[in-house]
Amino acid sequence: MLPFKVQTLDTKLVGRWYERRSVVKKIISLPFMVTVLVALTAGGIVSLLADENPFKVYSILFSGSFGSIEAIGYTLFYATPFIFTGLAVAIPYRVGLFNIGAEGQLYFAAIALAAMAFYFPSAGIFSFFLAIAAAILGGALFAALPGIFKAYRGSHEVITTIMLNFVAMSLSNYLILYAWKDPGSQRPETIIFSESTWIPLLHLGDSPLNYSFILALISAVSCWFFLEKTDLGFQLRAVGQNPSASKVAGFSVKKCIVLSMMIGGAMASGVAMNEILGNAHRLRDGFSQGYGFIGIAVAFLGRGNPIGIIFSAIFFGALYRGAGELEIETHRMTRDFATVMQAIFIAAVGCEGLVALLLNKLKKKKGDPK
Amino acid sequence: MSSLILEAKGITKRFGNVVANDRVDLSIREGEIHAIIGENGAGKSTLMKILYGMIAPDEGQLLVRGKSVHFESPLDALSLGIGMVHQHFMLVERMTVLENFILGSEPTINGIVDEKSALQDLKNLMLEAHTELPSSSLVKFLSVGQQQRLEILKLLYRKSDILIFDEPTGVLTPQEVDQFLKSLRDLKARGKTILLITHKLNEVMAVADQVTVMRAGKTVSSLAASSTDVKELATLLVGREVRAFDERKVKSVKKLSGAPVLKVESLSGVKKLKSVSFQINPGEILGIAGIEGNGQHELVQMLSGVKVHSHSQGASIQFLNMKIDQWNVEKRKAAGMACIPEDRHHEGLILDFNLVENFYLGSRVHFDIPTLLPFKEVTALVEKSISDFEIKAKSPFSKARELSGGNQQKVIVARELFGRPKLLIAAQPTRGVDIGAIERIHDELLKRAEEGMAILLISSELDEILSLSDRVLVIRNGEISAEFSDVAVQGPDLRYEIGRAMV
Repeated sequence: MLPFKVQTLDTKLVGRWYERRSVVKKIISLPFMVTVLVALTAGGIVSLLADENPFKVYSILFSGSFGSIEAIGYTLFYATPFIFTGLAVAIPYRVGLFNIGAEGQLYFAAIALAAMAFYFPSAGIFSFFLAIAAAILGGALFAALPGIFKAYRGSHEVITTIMLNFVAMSLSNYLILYAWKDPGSQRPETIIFSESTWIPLLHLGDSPLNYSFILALISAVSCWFFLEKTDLGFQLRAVGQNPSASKVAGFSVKKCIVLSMMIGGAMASGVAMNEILGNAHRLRDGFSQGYGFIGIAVAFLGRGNPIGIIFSAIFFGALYRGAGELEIETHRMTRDFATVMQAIFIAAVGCEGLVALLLNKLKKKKGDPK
Repeated sequence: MSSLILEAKGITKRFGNVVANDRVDLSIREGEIHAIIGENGAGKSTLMKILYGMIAPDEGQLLVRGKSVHFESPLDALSLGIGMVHQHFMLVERMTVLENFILGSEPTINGIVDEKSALQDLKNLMLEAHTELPSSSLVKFLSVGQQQRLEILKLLYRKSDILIFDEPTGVLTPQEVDQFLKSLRDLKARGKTILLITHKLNEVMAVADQVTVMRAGKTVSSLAASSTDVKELATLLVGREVRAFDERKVKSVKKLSGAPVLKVESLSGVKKLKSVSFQINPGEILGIAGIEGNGQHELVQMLSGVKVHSHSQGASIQFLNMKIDQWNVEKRKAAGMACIPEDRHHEGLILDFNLVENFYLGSRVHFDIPTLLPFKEVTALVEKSISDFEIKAKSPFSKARELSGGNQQKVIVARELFGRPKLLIAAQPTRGVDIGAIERIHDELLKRAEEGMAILLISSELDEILSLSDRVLVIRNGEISAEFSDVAVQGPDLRYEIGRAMV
């Protein structure tokens, strides 16, 4: 209850506008643009070294990823796991934690999901929800472990999440190779799961893009809403910015640490849904091509902002899809160019502070004091 | 003796539309202690950064020993013998005293650091400066006062003879302040010129020869310390008449009625606090005096609920007749407790959050449905606070970082008082805050006490304790070492008795 009547003032609108503008400005700032330009130039030099015209390379990359409905479908399909793992890294990061364990979390979610699909295949729509719920819970609980270690024992989350990656991946390997192996297949994979558990396609050309992408978008927007508009999200952000002030304000730092990790793990589980229920319909060895680690780059390129992550994930998705085309259309370049570009962008984004500094110096020389 | 060693003529510095320094003139005579005083945002820091070569002025001229100079970087200033001790020390905590001492100008033999001669230099300088520091101990194990002495030694080692001190006493204990002022006089006796930037007018009067007052980016006046007094300086500083700091505002003893708001019995902590007991009545201001680090921080933490474990038998905290020992922070706040934490940057605010978020941070328990953030209401509250407390901020959405210390503190005070608490724990409520803000905060505390709010005032500023408290406890080594009642009646004589109980 407020002790007096709340008055609305005109300045509020101005303030809102200013705040919003500053968020947009933060993402599309001058240093950011320069950074992107530098990265593209560096990528161009790499293609020159490979004896290919950089403009041709970039135009193939672009048309390969956005040139047709089907290309867009593939781009978004590749972007889907990146959104999920980007969020898996970003949410704990807002609390000051560095979650290197998205890979392990998505593997553990996949195990939980596959277990449900494997053992309860014929419950119709329930199998589907059972599998989804198991994935989310599996990812969240597996991520809760390093959170609890951190909050109550002080173990550094980078170490524990990396170690747990091996646990989840080895467990998944074991299950795929022995317990759940499809006897009729030569490859390390489980049987095809019941059709009732499949996530329907979005039918963008022949692309495997499915409703997981929509789920990814909803997840990102929900994460944004959670962080910016809810009390609990506020607590997480406060703890991330200043744990001691948060303690004085009465927030439980421990709770926020564990919670943020659980949300991160739940986000990582989306990869399992996309790859297993949406695409392969079975658990395959190596179904994640390091998505959990690429999520770190996605999160940083997206500035840890859930909405920014959507865009950076689509950018990464386009790179992966476009590089595939590159392999077909050029003589000397392979899909590895995506990895090269990814590395360049990570390095460039890491240097963004430096770019801002240099820009400032340049401005100063021109005589502008600020 | 009285030749001008450092002059600034018509210095102007703009940041965007803000004029930080507006045609500032400054003349420093060789061998004097020259104090530069001004409220936060008056342009002192900008001027110092210009004198030290960290930023270049847009207009104006700097003269060192009569010669016009142009600084590209602090190194240029250093080469002309101008050195600065920053408010936040520039020491590497994980390196030893000796390593810090020579850092950046290491004596070398064939490219290898000559530790022997460095140590000898350090010893010689320590002897000259009548100070003693353990040369091989890590800087992080030094006290704040020792670190400051190391900073001075560093400057002497670099042959600086104009020493600039930025707010040097803000972090020191009273004894350390005395020692520091003494060392300033020592330095002066050795022919050094000293620039002292400070808020504390008493210290200015104690050591300075000349005082330059800055206000709103301009030098308002420059006068000899011997021909002025604290009251005149305070008036010049603020631009209107203010009460001198130690002038007692409430002369009468209040009638205290009703059951005690807070009753603490044999409360002990893990670190310092040992069996502390006291009680506060409604409308009473209970001052806790003492040198910092004697258990005050732990006391605040245990009362506000940040730490809940008590380690002594029979310990209890009763708030409005409720036993609250095991209550968490939120429950205590909801019941009517509020707290101004001693360190506003680390405990009071989140600097990268805006004012609305920072207001909500501490007043959260007073809102009904904390599922979604009630930022519409909070924004209106912040706007009200901005006008009520004359907080200088562009908008409620300005980041806390963008505000000056005094304005940041006012945000905290407004926030903590918003829920109409029955008890306010105010730890160092005016530390590092300009006179105008101190006055505003003190007035508000007194007004709320008149209305019946109990205040536990924890401060290492004896002046502040004496001018506000009805009753004073002295804390030493975690224990209450003395109690003084009827502070208003006894007045200034009490100062010395309290001081004795502190050590």
